[in-house]
Amino acid sequence: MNGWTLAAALGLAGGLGTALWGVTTGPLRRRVVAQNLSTALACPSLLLLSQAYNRPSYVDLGLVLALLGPVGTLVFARLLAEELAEDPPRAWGATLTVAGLGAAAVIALCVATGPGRAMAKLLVIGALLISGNIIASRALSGGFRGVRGG
Amino acid sequence: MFGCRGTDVPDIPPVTVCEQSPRRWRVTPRTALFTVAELLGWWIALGLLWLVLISTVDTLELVVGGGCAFVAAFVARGARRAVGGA
Repeated sequence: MNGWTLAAALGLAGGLGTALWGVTTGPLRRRVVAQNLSTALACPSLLLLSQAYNRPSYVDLGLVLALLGPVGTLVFARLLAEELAEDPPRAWGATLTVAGLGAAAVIALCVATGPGRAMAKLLVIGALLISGNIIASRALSGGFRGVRGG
Repeated sequence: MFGCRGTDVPDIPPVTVCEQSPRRWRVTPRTALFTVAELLGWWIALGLLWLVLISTVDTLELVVGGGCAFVAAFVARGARRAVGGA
């Protein structure tokens, strides 16, 4: 049990567990935000596990999750557009906190990896994760004013 | 010839209305240069992304990455034009 596995365990058990609780209970407003944050917590946990077990292939799992997680949130935002329009979620505090934790995890992993292509890959995954998280949160909380129609 | 249809209006000679697709974008050397530059930029950016994401760099990876990035450059340019207009 080293620091990386401890951080990954905290992220998965604490963070993802809380997010799963948030997805299954409460009003729709909280559930969609928790679904969005579950991706933002699971992806850095996978990256931390890759460093903990020294298996670079786990980084590819994190990349896939960083790409597909926000897409899933956008699908929910599109399908639940009417219900969300009546009661839009406002959870920028939680979203930015989780984004900050993800950034901290990526920075720590970059420092541990050292300069090179692996660090560039981690930075690309971190950028995809955080930008996807922010865009999906904006889509949930009101949408993009310039886009209309199906 | 190009989908022209005649309109019969009495009292005045029939007028032929040709329905051609609106071609507001013409191929000039300037637009061709912009197109090539954009495709080259997309090719380089996507090729660099490929290089970052693969594990080992050897000749086969470079060839496959260059080919995929070349195809994806056309797709990316089409997506940009579809989102933002030509």
